[in-house]
Amino acid sequence: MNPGHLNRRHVLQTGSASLAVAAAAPLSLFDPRQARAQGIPFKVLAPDEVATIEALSNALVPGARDAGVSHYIDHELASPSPRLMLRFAQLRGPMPPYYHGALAAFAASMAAQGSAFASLSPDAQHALIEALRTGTIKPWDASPVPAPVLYAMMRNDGVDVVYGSVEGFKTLDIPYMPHIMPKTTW
Amino acid sequence: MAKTKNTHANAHVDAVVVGSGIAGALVAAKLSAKGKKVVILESGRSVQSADMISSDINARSLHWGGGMAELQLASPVTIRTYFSSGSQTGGTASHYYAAFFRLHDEDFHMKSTFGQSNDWPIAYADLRPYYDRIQEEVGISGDAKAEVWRPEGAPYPMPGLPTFQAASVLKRGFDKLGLRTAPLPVAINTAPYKGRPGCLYDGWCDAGCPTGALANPQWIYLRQAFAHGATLVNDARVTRVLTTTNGKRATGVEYVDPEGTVHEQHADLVVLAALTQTPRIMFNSATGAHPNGLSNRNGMVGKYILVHPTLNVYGLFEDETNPYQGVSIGLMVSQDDYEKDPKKGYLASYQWLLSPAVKPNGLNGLASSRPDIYGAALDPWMKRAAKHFTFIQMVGEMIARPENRIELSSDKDAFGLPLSRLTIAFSDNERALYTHASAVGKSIVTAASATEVWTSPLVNQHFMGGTIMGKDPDTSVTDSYGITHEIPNVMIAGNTLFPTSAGVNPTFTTHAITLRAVEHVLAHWPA
Repeated sequence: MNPGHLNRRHVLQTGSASLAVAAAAPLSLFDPRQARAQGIPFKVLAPDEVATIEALSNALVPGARDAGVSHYIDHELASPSPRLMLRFAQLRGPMPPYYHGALAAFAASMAAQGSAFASLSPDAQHALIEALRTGTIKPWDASPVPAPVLYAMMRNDGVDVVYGSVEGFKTLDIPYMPHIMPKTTW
Repeated sequence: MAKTKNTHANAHVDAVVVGSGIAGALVAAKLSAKGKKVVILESGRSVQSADMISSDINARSLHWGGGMAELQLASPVTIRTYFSSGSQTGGTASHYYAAFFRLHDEDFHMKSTFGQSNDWPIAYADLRPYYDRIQEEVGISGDAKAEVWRPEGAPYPMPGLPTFQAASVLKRGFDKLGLRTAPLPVAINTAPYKGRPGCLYDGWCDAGCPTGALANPQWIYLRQAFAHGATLVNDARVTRVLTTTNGKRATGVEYVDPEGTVHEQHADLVVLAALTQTPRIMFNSATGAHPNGLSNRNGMVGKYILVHPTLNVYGLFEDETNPYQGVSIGLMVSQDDYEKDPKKGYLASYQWLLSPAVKPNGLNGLASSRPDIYGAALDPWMKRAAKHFTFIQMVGEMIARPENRIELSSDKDAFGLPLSRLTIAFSDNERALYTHASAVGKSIVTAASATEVWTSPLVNQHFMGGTIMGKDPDTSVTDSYGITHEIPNVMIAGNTLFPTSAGVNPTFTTHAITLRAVEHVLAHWPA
């Protein structure tokens, strides 16, 4: 069935008085791609953490770096209730320590292996990601989160910024079809 | 009335309702319609239709409410509950998918029939008139005749959901295997109904439905409650139920506002409809007369927590499926294998939901269905899946067991009150159900001509139990109306009353038991 017979504009205009308010409702004006382009300072993440996120997430989800994945994560971690996918892991307490800890565990593992992720060849990066994904990376301090959780964090956050926006839907050639259009990225 | 330096006493009301989700909103609407003065206390923020912005990332803010609603999990963690909860106006139902299934008669008699799980203190016949009335009040779309397994009841007031390409593709598989399907019954308008518009099928139900096509509390029972004078206080975290010295009557509740001011809201009737927080409030209400927590002489508060074991069976097809459209719950249903029979190798009912709408990201997004794909392979896969992906979802039954429970944690919230800790795990029975359904599901999707078929792990959805209803005061927390066994003016409403999960989504039953209960309360309201 093609839902085109339904008059979307009519419904969205007349559905409720509250929808009229939506146009003026305050939304987050944060756009991670623009934030990265403008070099907006980070509030939560340290420079080495930013470098790790951008290298790792971009290797998992090509385009994540330019889409502002590190600014996205930083912005959410600075909020009282981050919307990052990690919230569904139902971890105890605030979310930032888990990001700090997981990134530190990754950095420590890379240091112990005597290499830097960003400088590895594509094949070596792939092998390391597989070890991260399957939990076989060594060494790994699992006290913050197990290695596969960091893999999921970096992949999920990358997917959010690359595919989760109106722009992302366009790259997949599918319509966004919002009831209420996000004012900026989301 | 005892006051502390920081305590503010609010004006007395007839009823204070804790929680503004489906159950709390319905109770408030019916009480206020009969002239009762009602205050609803909601621990979460205000969320109105205008806040229901169409994005998966925004939608997550409706699932779980942040640190103050923390529900800690005991190790090892295999079941998580935040996706199926919410702390804001409308509660979980501000983002629910509005699947409206009736329980089957066999669901009410698990213990007496099979010697496992629990019995409900009521039967299907007791609830049928309330199911019928609710479906007329909120508006349900479906095809009762096509649901050959549906218990007796009035026909739906609106025709069933359209099929779209995705469900048509999957229906081939069910047809080939001789499994019957029907439009999935939903509280979503397929046509204008009572001043609310028909659905646009944009697939954003998870972000909340701002149009009114989906029957959420903002559009139905909260609106009715407000029209009859009920008031809602957001960001009001209820800390305990207040009782008389002898513990035989409740006098109201205590809550804390964001500034830390303690309020006492006195009322003739206290209604706890706070889902995961209901057991916590009861534990934190311990007094000399209720040393184990409110109405917890028998130690049953917090016991029998339930979820629905869930399995997704995914497929990629040559056909265009356009999974981004439709509704989040799915378009069709099959309950052909619902009957409980231990000879199957497990004791559980289950159903299949066909073709939930899927967006690219998020917990239920395209990318999450294949977490093993990354790097250069990801973008081509996402582009293919965006047009050719769909899936079926099994909603299964979990055997009720007392060891699946909520207790108080040693950790405390910002106000110094203990948080909740959930201990819960699946048993071999649910794992056997998963194994069975995985094989059946893969056969179905393969028969539908999928070019690739894969499954999710055993996951879960919904939250039930914790203050179960029952006939025996020694083995339950409330009677069939949600009235606690020890305090006659404390009423519990919502999913925490469920003694069993059944194998269907819970919300229609939540409505039905709540309507039955509030009418009982009104009929017995002291003169």
